[in-house]
Amino acid sequence: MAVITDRQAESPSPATDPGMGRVQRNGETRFFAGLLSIVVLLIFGTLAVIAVLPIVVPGYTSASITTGSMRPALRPGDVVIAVSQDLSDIEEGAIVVYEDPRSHDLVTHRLIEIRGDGSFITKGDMNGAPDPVPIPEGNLRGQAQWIVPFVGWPRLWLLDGQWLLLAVTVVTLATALWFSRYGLDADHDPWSEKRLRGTP
Amino acid sequence: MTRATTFRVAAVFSGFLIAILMIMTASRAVFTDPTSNDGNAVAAGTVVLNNVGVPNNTDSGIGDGTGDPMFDTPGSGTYTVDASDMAPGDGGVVNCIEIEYSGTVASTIELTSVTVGTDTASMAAVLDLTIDRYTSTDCTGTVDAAVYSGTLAAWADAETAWSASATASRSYEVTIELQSTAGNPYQGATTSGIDFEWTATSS
Repeated sequence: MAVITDRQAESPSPATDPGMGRVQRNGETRFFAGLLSIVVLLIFGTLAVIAVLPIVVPGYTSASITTGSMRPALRPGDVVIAVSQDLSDIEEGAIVVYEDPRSHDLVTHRLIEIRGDGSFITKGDMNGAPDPVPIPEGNLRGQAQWIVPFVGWPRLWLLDGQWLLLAVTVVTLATALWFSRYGLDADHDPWSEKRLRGTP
Repeated sequence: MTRATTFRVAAVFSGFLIAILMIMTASRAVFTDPTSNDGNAVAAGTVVLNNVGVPNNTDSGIGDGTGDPMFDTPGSGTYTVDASDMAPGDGGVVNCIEIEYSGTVASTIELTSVTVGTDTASMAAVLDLTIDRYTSTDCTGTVDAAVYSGTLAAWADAETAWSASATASRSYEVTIELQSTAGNPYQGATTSGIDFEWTATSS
């Protein structure tokens, strides 16, 4: 029983294929599509890894931004990486990540005042007034150090029920993953001896 | 190194490089203007009390608890209503905001001010503002109190404050409509930086 595998179907048979030149061009297009997929996957992958790394690295906290309260400095979908620091080492005006004493959610707002009792006052840049409750120093997770863009979007879409955007992203990444083999696989190297053998 | 390998190494290198370059340092963000609120907004609501949003109602309500604007040009917040293309008499824009008191002393709470930032063509004088208060958390049920009805420019505190001594909330339904008699001078006009401020006062 002859099973035509994908690879066999793609491998040109130079001796019998008069359109070898065309096949080779397709090979190059595929190879570069594969490389582009690898670049895209690496961008997403690197950003995602950096965004979640603080979960396992002590002293670091990552917080995903879900609201526009810190626009334009931070946008929904950004992930902020905060480095644990003492309140006394942080200057007023810095962006800090802390646990809201009422809701216990992580909030990323600007530190506007350090009070004598060791608590601090925060405010979202877009908000007209400071946050209502002073934050105890113990709730401070750190000062925002890096902003990783885009990686928080899938979580936002999940929370919002934006299934279409989620699906498009998943399909795009899956397609990139499928295409990436053309950039890595020796069989799809457009300049390899194997490919070029038999060309005029 | 074969030609393909050279390309592969370049691809891997540029993938990492692009990702690293996309990560910005937060210190740069410290220097951005903290009061910036881009031009086309019709209203940016902010609160002093806890603004906890409207559960299970994604069409209206501020759902985040940290003060996204109730109305804006698209894209600001999850529950922000798009107010970028208002037309005279089109029914206006409506949003619902939940205001939660979470203190521990007896207090009275009310909407104490509505202020306008930038008002091109004096549009605030022809923007009708209607605010109704509900005891529910999502502006459903019967109206608890009519808070205001009139133009945005003429806003005055007419609310009968509500009181609480432990966690309690009310929802406010805010409607902004361009008057049906507003003529061509208002085409393309914007009113932005509209701040709604609620205040709790211990009693």
